[in-house]
Amino acid sequence: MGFKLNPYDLCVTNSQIKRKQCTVAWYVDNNKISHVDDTVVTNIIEKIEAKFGKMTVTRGKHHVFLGMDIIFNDNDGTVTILMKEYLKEAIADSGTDASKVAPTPAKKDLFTVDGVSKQLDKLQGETFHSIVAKLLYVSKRARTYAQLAIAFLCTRVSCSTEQDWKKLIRLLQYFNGTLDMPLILGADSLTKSKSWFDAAYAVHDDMKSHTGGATSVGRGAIVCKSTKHQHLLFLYAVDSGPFFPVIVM
Amino acid sequence: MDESLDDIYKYIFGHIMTQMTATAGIKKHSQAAVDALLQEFCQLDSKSVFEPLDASMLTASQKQEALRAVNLIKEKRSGKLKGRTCADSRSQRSKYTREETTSPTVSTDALMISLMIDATKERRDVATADVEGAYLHADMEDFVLLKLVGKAVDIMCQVNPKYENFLSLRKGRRYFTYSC
Repeated sequence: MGFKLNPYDLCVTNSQIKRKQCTVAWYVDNNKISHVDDTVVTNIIEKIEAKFGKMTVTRGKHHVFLGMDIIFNDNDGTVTILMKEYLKEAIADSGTDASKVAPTPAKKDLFTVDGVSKQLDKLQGETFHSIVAKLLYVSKRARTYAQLAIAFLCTRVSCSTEQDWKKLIRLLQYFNGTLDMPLILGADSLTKSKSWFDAAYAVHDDMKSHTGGATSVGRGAIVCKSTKHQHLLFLYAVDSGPFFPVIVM
Repeated sequence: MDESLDDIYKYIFGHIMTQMTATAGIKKHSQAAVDALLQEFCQLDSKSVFEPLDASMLTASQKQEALRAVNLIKEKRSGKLKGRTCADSRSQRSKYTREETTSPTVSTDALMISLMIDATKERRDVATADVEGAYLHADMEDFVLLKLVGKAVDIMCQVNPKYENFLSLRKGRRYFTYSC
């Protein structure tokens, strides 16, 4: 079919068909096929089916792909991504009061670790771990702006305390109040991207810094990172910000 | 905190533990779980994933090394039950390379960029497609022996009566061996 693997991601392949680009991306058995001409997409599907048998195919503007509800808005050239079901599940798993909501994902004491806070018992600790893992999946996709709180909670899964549980509940209450808030992606220009990044020096309890950043091409951030782990050792009290590209990119 | 512990148990078993063994699944969902396994086994049978073997032709060590087929029932978000079959974790061959044990997955960054391009550039037509039983299409060069025991034996015989001829008895329990 004349497809060439994308050198930056070997699970993406492109081909020029009818002078327009056709892109196929796959996640094991889930495929996304796109081309400006719908007959080309149909043709590709038929060719894949001839090799691998009948597939479950979704066409149109609304798709459920890898747990994401994806809606293409033709009127303004944007795509809306929602992961409501994941969030509802996480809220239900925690036993959070469904009527309570919080205005922000975390309080200002997010990074403060209370050394005397009681350790969670095994069962609740496993629940904590499971919910954080679920939220980590969501934060990499539809809720990128909550990565700060989730990145911190990820560092606590092996030693979670009642204080961490409260922080998790706070985050879930925030999600509870914003269940319908989507991530909307769009572009002003595909050749111009803007990136913002910053770091907070030695803000963690173990004196590690925290780094975060986002890249956008117009509307919404297509790439976001928030991490405590900086692989470089800062011996001096300098702003760790400039090191972000090394760590993130 | 103590008062909410019962609720936590309830939520864990109600939501997190949505995957269970076939026995537990059949106990909980009865016929619906059997139907889910039946569907899974039909797929294994129709795609010729394995060949049944006469247990009397196998050596004692081969019988001992045969991996147990683990049958699971997964409750999906939609409420639908799905049967899953995999081999237990004992290895028949050691040292797999990383390339042999990883699955091809598009990176999240690439996917998000691709979605954005689909929406913005040219307003492309998008299709998402799910290959049925994707792993079952892969060719396997290794000789792997699997053993099916318990209720799953009856379900497999229900899928295709030809498997009745390959049943063996061990300690009064019926089982059947096949190679993948």
